[in-house]
Amino acid sequence: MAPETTPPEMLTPEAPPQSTLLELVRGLSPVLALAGVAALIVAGVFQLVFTDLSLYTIIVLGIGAVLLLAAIALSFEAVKDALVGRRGRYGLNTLIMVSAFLGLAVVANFLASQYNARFDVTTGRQFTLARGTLATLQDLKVDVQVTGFFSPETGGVDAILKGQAEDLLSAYGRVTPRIKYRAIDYQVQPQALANYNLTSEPPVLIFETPERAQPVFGRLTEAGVPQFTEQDLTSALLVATGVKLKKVYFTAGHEERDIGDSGDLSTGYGLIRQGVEGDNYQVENLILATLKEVPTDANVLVVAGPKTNFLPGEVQAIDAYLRRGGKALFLADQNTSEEFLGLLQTWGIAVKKGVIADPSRHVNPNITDVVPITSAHPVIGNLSIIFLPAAVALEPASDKLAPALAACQQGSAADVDGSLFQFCPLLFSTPNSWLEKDAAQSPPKFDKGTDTAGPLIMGMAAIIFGPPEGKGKGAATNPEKPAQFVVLGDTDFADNANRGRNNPQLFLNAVNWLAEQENLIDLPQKPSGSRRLILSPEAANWIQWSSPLLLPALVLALGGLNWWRRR
Amino acid sequence: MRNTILITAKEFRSYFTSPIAYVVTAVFLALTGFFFAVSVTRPLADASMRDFVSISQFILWFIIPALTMRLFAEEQKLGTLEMLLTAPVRDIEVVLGKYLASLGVLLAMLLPTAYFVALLFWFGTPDTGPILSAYIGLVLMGAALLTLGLFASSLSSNQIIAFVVGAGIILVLLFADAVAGLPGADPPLFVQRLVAVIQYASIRTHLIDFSRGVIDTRDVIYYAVLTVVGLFLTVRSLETRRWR
Repeated sequence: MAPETTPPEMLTPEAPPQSTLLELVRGLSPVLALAGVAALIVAGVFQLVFTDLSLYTIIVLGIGAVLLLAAIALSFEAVKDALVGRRGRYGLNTLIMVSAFLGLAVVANFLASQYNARFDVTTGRQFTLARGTLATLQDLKVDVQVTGFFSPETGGVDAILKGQAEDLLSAYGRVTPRIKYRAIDYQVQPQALANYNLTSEPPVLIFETPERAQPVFGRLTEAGVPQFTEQDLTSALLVATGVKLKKVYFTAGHEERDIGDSGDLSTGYGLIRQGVEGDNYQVENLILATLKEVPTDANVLVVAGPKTNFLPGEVQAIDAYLRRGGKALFLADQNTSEEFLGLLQTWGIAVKKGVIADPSRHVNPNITDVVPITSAHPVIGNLSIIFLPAAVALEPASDKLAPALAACQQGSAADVDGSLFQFCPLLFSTPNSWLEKDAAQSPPKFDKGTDTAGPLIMGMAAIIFGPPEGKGKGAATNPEKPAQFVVLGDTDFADNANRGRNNPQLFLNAVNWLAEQENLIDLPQKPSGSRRLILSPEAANWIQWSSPLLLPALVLALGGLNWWRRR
Repeated sequence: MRNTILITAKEFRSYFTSPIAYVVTAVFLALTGFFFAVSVTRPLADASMRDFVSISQFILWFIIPALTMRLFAEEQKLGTLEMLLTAPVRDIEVVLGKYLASLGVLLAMLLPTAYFVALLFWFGTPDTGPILSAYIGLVLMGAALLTLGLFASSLSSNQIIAFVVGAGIILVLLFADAVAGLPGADPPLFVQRLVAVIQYASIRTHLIDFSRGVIDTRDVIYYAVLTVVGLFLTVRSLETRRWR
């Protein structure tokens, strides 16, 4: 029996197994292409986000490339058709044209970014940096980290200062990439602020290099608006980079406290000197009898309890320094020279000799080691416990200057014979205290008729616009720069023996407060860029209601009218 | 040129015969007016238009696609685009005509905001230079964004899709500068450069100087180039309809 054979035409057309497999694999090519593109994107993200994963990035990149090539190889015919077919050719042509055009756009922007011109159209050329600033920025050799501590949520002042700082710093950043800026909300991250030993409250900008940090606090304009100026920021930059430091001169030659004496528990001011230098100041002795004038580079002058008499020329030199807007820290006690006290009298502060005794606030057992009550002032800052041994009392030199004390509380200045005075009491004793006139009396006790009853002022911060004698009297003063000084009724509090207490910090706060108003670089004064809106309640009401409602209502009414006409 | 003017006039009229221009303008004015009022009535407020400009860029993010979404999408849906493209007008004339019409609406929308400037002069003494530069910047930015909206409209016959695509493109360009926070500390140089390039591409970084009162040729050229790129892409997009 012959074997049964099936005629060839009756065979079912079965594809060979290899061909089926190939079709199946080809069907996978879109998936492979998609996976390849996804791998390339993931590699890109890896590289952007994780800078230390370069090996993984290369592996993922390689996988992506292999998958894409495999997809192309498997669907080679389809890819070829897409590229060389009619639609493919048009599409490729469009792609090339778009790519070329985008390339041109990139080149145009690149050239524009390299060769640009800027036109400052503000009235005072607010965003045009002065030559001094440009030179400082171009000479920068180190990176400067600028940290702004603001809390915009707390209200207008922080937001205004933040805006000003960022405007100025962005202009600085265009000159040099060495300025790095970051803003921190000090209410959210108080610890970041605590790392800096600041004498005043934020908002503050801190210019920082690995060597030193220099804070800049906003200053108030005459209109009472806080402001950061280019001068402030450039000065801080000079200090932070160590190019230039603010100078503090200590007068010498009248038995003042010795800044060269760093002896443990001595009466010298060597440790205070180190503290001042630690706050980025250059400290020098000043022999006025030789120099005849206070040097022009003096940012703060310190006269620390001179005992022997000042020569008339020396008193005149300090007087001239104050009249040109100088800043000074004066320390007086019961042994201070009369000529020097005469100078203070001229500038409105009378020193009443004696020793303050306060049974209510003192360091036991001596009631003349007074722990004064402190007031809210940048010189005091956060200090609460300070003690002044054997302090003298201060008061306005005449009755007509008494309003200068009240003016401080109101944040204003008292007009006295055409000059403006503001005297801020910093430290004072309790009502139970008195000024003991008999230094030999032990223990001290209040003698009615002889001693002066408390409360008594022991420290005072003064700002004076105009001559201290009144307008048109005495030698002329700098009309744009007020004289500013701090008088403290004690010298012992800051000597080496009192280190470790808050007392040295009081001294440093006073120097910082005075030096803050001083700049290291003279830049042309610009008119204030801020033009504040002062709105009455009615005006504010009108703006609040009319701005969002009036214009839209008019436009909708116009649309309605148009619709009615076309109806 | 004549064709462009004719198309511009026709499109501009059609904006104002439908409620779209009125509604979009009213929404824009209500929102900018609200934020303007909030900014100038707070304590120690500045007599300037900076806050107005900074809020306007975000409002324009959705106002501009709303203005442009119908320009090509509607024509595609109604089938009139084929007629337009086969008429004796060049693609570029069609695109320019529609673009200039939308630019006219944008300017008409900004014109009433002169009331805010008048309020500043009424109650304060603002600096005129920064106000003028702020408006120049806003118009340049708006002009560039309109071309992106136009391009999105040329991609689809569905107005909603055109709106979403347009708003998406503008959103990406608005917030491109946010990539600055993506790389970790001390990234490699090429990553730093890439981030700088992407930041440069951000629309809003180029508006900051205008709002301050500084006109930088970089910013002017950026917006001009973006406008030309948007128009070019729109023309190419229309052209693909001939062979797709």
